[in-house]
Amino acid sequence: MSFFVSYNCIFYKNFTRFLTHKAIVICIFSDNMRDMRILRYILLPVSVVLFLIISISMASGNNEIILTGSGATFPYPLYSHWINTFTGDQSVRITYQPTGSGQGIRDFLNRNNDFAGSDIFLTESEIESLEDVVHIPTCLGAVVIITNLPGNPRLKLTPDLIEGIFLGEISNWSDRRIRRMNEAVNLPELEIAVVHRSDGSGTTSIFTDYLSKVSKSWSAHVGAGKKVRWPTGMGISGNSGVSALVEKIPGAIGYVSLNYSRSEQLIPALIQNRSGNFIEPTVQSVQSAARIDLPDHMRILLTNTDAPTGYPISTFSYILVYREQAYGRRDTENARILADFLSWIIHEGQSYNADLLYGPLPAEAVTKAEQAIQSLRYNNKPLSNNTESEIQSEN
Amino acid sequence: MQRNRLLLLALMLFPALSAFGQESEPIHVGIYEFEPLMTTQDNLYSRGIFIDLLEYIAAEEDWQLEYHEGTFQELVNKLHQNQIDLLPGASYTGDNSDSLVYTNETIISTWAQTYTPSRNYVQSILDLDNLTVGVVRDDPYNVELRSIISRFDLECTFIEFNHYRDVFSALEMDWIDVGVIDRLYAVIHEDEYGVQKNPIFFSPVELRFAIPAEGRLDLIEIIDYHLSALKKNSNSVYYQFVNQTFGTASSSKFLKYLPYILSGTLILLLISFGTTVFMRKMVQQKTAELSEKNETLEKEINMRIEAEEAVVRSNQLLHKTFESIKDGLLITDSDINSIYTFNRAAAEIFGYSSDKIGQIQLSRFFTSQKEAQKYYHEIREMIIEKGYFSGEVRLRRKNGELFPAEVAVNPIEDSAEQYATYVIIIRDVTYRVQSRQARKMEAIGTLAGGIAHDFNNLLTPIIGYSDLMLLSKSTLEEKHSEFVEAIGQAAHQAKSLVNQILTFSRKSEQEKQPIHLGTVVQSTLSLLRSSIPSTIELNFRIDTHDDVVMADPTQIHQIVMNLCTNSVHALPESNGKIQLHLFDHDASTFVGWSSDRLNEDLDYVCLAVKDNGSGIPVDILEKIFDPFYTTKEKGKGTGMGLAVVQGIVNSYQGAITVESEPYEGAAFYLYLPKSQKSVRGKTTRNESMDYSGRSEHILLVDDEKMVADMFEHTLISLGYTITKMTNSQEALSLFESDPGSFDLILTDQTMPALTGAELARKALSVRPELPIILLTGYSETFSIEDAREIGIREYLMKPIIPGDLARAIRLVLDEKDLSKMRWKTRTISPH
Repeated sequence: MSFFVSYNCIFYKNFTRFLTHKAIVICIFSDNMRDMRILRYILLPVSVVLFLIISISMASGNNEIILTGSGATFPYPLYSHWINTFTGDQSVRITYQPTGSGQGIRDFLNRNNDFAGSDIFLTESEIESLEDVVHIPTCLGAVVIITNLPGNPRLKLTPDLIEGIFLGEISNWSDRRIRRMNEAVNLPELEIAVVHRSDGSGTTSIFTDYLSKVSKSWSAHVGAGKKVRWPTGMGISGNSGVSALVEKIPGAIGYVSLNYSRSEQLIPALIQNRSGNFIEPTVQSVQSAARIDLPDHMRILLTNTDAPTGYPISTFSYILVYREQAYGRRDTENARILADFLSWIIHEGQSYNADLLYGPLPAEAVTKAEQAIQSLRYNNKPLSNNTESEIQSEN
Repeated sequence: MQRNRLLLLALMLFPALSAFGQESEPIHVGIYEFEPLMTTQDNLYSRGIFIDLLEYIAAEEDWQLEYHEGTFQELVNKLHQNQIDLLPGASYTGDNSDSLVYTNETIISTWAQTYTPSRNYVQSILDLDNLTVGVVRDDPYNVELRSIISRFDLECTFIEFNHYRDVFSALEMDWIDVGVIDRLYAVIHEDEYGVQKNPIFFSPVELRFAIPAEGRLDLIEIIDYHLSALKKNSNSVYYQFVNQTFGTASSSKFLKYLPYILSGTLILLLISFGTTVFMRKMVQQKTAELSEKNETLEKEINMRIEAEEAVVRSNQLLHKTFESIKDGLLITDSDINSIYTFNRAAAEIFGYSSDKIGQIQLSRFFTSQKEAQKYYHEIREMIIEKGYFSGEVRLRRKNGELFPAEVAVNPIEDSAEQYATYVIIIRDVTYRVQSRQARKMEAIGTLAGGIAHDFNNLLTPIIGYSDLMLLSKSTLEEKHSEFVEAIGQAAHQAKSLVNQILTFSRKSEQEKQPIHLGTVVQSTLSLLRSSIPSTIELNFRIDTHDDVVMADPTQIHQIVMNLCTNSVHALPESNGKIQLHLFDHDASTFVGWSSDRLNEDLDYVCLAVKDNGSGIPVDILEKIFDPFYTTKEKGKGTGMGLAVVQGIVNSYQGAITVESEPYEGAAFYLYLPKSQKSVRGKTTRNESMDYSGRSEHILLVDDEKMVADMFEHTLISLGYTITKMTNSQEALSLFESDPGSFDLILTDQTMPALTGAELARKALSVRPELPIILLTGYSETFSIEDAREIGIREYLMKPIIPGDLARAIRLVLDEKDLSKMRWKTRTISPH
């Protein structure tokens, strides 16, 4: 899509230049209407160009249903893949702008989009009636801790160590407390360089939520949020920025979402969960974290999970939609396609999650998400039956 | 002097008064980390020049200070919201854009200074593109630099640190390419790190104290008063603080060289003043010029936008015109082969979908490569001669169908006056050619039919009399008898030609019945086999089980004979082949050129007759079905063969197409609609019947005396009693005077005053059971059905053969079942 837009921009720029040139020719043309030679020489080339433009713009789609979404960057690679796959054989266009959860939610509350992607759920302070908003969990993600140490060892980190490092209290890799947990690793005499995000981010929000849960000191001095005042280290924007900087600086430590930790040099650390087990961040351990009783509204944070094999910095990513779909310029068809898309995400779409390092939804979450999708209404009427029957047939 | 003293008194009283009024209320001061000018850490010896100065003034004025920590931006926000009273270290830029109130006195000026690792160097802001830049998170320079970078459209990776020292460390470690440090911090600390100072600096600011717009102006006045006093005295706390902060050593050095520095500065100031005045004038002048240019540019932009909109509108109009033209338009490359663009009509004419036609090479639209080459040559010749090409060209649709088209080709010159593109206009004239052909055939048919009618009238007595003379052979000399036979033969030949003309003009009556086309063709071929040279290979393949059509077997016989005879004439002397093929028709097999159209609702069976002979030149394809058109030598062909074939096929609601390549043979395809009727068994004819008369009394009416005489003779010789009348009115009167005396009326149809049909109607009103036989030539308005309706028993077409007449009269009189007769008088309707 972005290719198409940029292509169009370039095309438009050139075309405008072209037209400015041709404008003079057209003026001559209109003054000498009877001169058929000029007509013959001008009418057709101009028509050719125009025809090409019109055919290009026609090709871009007329009468298409267009759904727009915006929000979280963390699931963006997965959402792009889903959108491409889902819209492949349909006359539907779906766009998703990775503006960050915060902007996505603002767009959503202003009813400027059809759906918002968010790594965090809405709270009562953000919207008058939570009943109006449906939270559809779409995938599971995790925040992993990456380090740049000689030999790329697989570190074991406890909540205390993570807190100490990110508060700046543990400043050298040779610190006793780290060595005790990692006896098998030959830890160097090297300063720890903390790398964090400088922009507002869902990843930061989940990581700091975890730290606030496991550390009173963190909760008191720094707190949780999309952007916090980091007591130490250096900030850079984007998951890719963090992983690049960690890769560059010996002794660096940083946090990124699971799907950004593919590099061989950045081995994610094992993290001790509430049950005392050191858990490697994998699609499976993230799924385990979600094996807990889910509330019907599904607004739940998975950080610091009770699940014994669950990775403790896991999260659901949500798509937020309004229960009553009749708003703005939306018609029933928009609403029905949206419901189809959501239904597709929680069923067929899930098969793509693991390949892109996102956890597929647990069965309970799928069931609850189905119920949520079925509760969508247009002018207080259920959406077309085929969405429901599809779901039923899959059951 | 006195005035000054009064002012001093007032100022001394003012703080006392204000302190008195504000005693219980502390002053809320925002502080932020701004090393070395300000620090939030209160355990240090000095908290930076701002706080130290402020605390000095507070002590003097007996103020209570309450500090609020935050980032610079947070504190500015708090100041706007009146949550704090005073902000030290506020950057004064000279304009009033932030609507804060500043002290008049500047405490210190500073700016952002850039550093690089020792071995690197950057010269200008533009050098920062694609570099990693370290900044302090809460630093105003962070925001400022990001905005500069984005204004210059550069890409930088920003890394935020908590302190300037972290930035210096990162530079030293080579983690970042450039670091942004406040120049005051840098002056003190740059020597501690292996870093390189760069010529890039930005955001020069004067740091002062600020209060909210609606804040306490008294604070500003008091601070200004103290600052101005402190700055005047080089031994004051202000200079002590400066020395403390930036080092006594530099300070003493500074004092030592002060006179030189001051005089140098003075000269510099004068120069800079002069330069400033000059520059300001220049700037004003340039600004005026620029704003003028700007206006001109804006006007030009608006004009351009308007022109662009006009162009878009006019292009939309042109595009709509292009698309709505019903002629096909193609725009091609300089080889007139690749299609750049086309309109909808072009795609429709050639039967391609809009997304396919663009990929077709233009030469494929011609009937053959050879044809294409020929036309390309013609087109280029005419373009050189006249500047354009215009002509009628036979083209091929996607489904293979050929069609006539009027084609115009106009070249478009490019800037180098070369023919870069060609505009081709194609008008499908199939319909026009078809209707022209149809009108021509209709006209010929009408003319031929009329002539045939008169010929029939002339032939009737010739045949009749010559037959009569032969009946009475004994009275003739042998020589005369031969002459009469020759006359009879010639007349019979003439009759058959007339029949052919009538068949072509579709005016003849046919005897259609359900037949197996394959069987009839097969039997014809077995006859044909014996009459063509044995060197010619003759094959017939039947690929259908459903070959029943409604047709006259005699006419099918004629069709096959005509087509095969034509083929035989075209065949080479050796290896001649004629292949006939019968198969079910589907739309894709309708090939070749035709002026006919098939009914899509009917099923057709197709008979193909192909030969490997000399073929038919393309330019005569259209004419081969015209009557009397022949390529044979004079006297060798009538030119009626294919005209008759087309006449028959059309009368069966069928179609005929032809496909031919010169020297590669020709193929004719006959499409006949299938019939669901079953084929009847063979009818038997009783040839041994006796048709002689038994003195029955016949009233014979014909206005042509010659014809009437001939019939009279014939019938008398057969043994009938004849009353001959040449006036139908008189004949009717005669009949009415004694209706019972006649056994049969034999009447011509076309007569002046009273036609045969009217005569019959009137006679039948008197005697309904009376047998009447109507004789007729070609008649457009009177059909056999009309005759039946009136009650006429029999209807014979001229020329009348005596045998036929005798049989008809006998059968009518004997009230035999007429439907068993095989002659043309049989019911045409299959009902």
